[in-house]
Amino acid sequence: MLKSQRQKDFVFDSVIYVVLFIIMLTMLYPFYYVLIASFNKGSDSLLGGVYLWPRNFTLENYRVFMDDPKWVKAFLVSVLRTVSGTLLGLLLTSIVAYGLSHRDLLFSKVYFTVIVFAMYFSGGLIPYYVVLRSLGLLNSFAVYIIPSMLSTFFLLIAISFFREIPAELKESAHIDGAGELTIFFRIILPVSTPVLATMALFMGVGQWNSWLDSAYFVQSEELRTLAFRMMEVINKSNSPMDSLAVANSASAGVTSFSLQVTSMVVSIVPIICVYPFLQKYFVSGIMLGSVKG
Amino acid sequence: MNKSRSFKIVAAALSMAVVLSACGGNGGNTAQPAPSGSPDAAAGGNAPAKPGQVKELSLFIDASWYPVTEWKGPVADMITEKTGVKLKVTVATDDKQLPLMIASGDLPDLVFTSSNVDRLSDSKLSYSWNELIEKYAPDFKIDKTRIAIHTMDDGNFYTVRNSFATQEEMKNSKYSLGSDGNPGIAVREDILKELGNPPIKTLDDFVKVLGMVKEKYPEMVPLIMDKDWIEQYFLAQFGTETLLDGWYEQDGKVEYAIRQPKMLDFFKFMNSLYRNGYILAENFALANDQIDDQYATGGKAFAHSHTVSTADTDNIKIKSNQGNFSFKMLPSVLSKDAKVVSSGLGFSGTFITKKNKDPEASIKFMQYLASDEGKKLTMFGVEGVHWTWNEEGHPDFKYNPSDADFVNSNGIKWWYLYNDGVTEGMLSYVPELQKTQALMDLKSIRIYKPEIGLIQTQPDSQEKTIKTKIDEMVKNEKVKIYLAESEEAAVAAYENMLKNAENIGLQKLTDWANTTYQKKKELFK
Repeated sequence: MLKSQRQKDFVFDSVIYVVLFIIMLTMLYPFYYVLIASFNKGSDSLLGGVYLWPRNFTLENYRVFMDDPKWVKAFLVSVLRTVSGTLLGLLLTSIVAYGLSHRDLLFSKVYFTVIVFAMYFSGGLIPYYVVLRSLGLLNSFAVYIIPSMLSTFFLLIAISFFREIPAELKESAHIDGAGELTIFFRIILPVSTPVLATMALFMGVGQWNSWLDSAYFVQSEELRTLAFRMMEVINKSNSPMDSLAVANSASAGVTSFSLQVTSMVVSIVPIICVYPFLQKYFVSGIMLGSVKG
Repeated sequence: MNKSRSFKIVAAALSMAVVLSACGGNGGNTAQPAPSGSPDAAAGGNAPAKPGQVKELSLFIDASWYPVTEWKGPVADMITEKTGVKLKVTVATDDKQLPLMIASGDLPDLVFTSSNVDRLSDSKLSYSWNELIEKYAPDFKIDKTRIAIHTMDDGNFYTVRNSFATQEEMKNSKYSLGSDGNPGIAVREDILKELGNPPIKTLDDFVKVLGMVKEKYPEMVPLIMDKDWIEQYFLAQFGTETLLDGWYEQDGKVEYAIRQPKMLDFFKFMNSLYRNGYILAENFALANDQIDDQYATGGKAFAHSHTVSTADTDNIKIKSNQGNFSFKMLPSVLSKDAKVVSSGLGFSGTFITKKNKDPEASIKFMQYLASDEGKKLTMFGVEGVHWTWNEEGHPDFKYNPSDADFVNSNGIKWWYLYNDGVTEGMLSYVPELQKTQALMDLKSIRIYKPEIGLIQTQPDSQEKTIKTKIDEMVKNEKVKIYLAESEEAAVAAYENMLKNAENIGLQKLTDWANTTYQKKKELFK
């Protein structure tokens, strides 16, 4: 009886593992394919049949890609906007969320209505552009940071997280003489690392990948981001060159496809590297034992 | 207690302020919009140039794929030297950027666009060229046809597109051949030789050879076609005067392509190719435009339908793959009925916007680009450095015009903010290439009817909806005709397609097209 139960479990588990493994492969393989294609000679990739490893290894795609000094500048702008945008976004979102998480807050219904409304409805690109212009944010680094400092979506998530924190924590700190700011910075934030890490990851990825603001709201070449430069490469490789020109440049080994996959790798890798460092904060039960009954 | 109440009020006030600002609402914000002359404007810095200095004008290029993004290189330098104007270039990131600039009023000095010509041809957004020419450049002469093409309902014209030529101009220029974007079929030379070099002078000859290939090399695909170049070559041979989604003119009236009597012969022909096994059914489902190239360069196909440069392109690839066979072009004309009608109006035009800080310099800049010297400088490069003029009437290039890297890095061709199809067409005259002959053949059977190109449905109009529906239906139904199991079934499928088009509103569309056509024709008188 027990044995057959175990056998059933084993079969069931095996099926689950196999299915999960297949799902994992389908998720990971496109990344892997892009990676090997970026190290393969472009004209060789066109012939097909490159599946497991580069057949004709080359660094030429990366050389052509990095030949332009603009890349380094764009990389720095992207790093700067990602770091500062994420930190400031976290700070403002958590401050506002903490204020709104108080259940006895006056007019809280009004605030929530406004927040939810703002989350679902936006004025559209043109009014947004006009607002940015009248605030004097166009063509400045601030346009990357200020508009994205408060995300209504994360605000709601942070509010519900802060509401989960036992009120006794705050009360005991009050009794010990702590002010609101002390409570927020020294008690609430340290126990909120899971939600902060989650927000930081999404905000960071969002900042890193954002190219639209760089395209529409900025004209200065100095302020272009890495993601924008990627778009440039992808756009240019869609250039309707005549096929002879393509054949001529393909004989040099680099094709529009190989440039595109290279730009994908360059844009994905840095943000993938950040992920493991944030993962350790995704821990539940951080509040366990914080309040003694 | 008090403390806690005051905290609540402060928190409430703070939250209220933050939430309201998060809304992005502009209530009570009295900040003035940045004037277009400020660095904040989308046009970039618009500080007026000091007299005696080179003037900088901002140019927005509404084509995200544009290969040149900076005003630099020998061609740009020479144009600046001649005109005293240099450009601060912004290339669009996508097709929404220009509409955004139009809506917000943040336009640069100049806009170069193909898809927004109608939209920018508006006195609220752009200066009309006729008034600027009258005022600042009375000796800037533009021919009647170009003016007719670009004249709007208000009687003004706001731009002139490049890459356009009239029948007359092309006739007078023997060496102007047109672009690579023309249909052609290449065949395997070695296999032809093995078959005893049968002559291919007509379509029937070609079909016979396909039959021989099928018999002798059963593992080979007799004819592979690029997904975007399936019909064009054969439509030209049947003399339909139009592609499947265009208009053709007969006795002063226009009709939609699928009603063209020769269309049925064309469909029967395509169907016979399929029924005889000369083309693959899956050829009509190819999603990737490189699969046909792989068939051809991998030695799996005898004939390859693509463009006039197919043989040249395939041969380069075969050589780099160490292949031991080669392709040659079929003649572009395989029937006495062959005909090609060019109803193109050109590619892109430059607009001098109402935000332009120096309309006089702008129109004079266009005038220089439109001069013979300006056109050659733009299109070929610097005379003596990049080319010399051959007395025969064409440039002798000192570089390979197909070398995209050289062309782009020197800014050759791409500053054609004003140019014409004749000058551009000379880039294709490279005697040692097979495509040159193919283009010459095509030129001999090409007729120009730009007035047909002016039959353009307007966005959001009823005609546009009908045309889109019909084109979509034809796209699906045509494959049923090609792949019909018998000729009778193909004819039935063709008639069914016509019936569907009638039901969608073909007659209404045709009536509208004829009204438009008559109106536009008047402009050319």
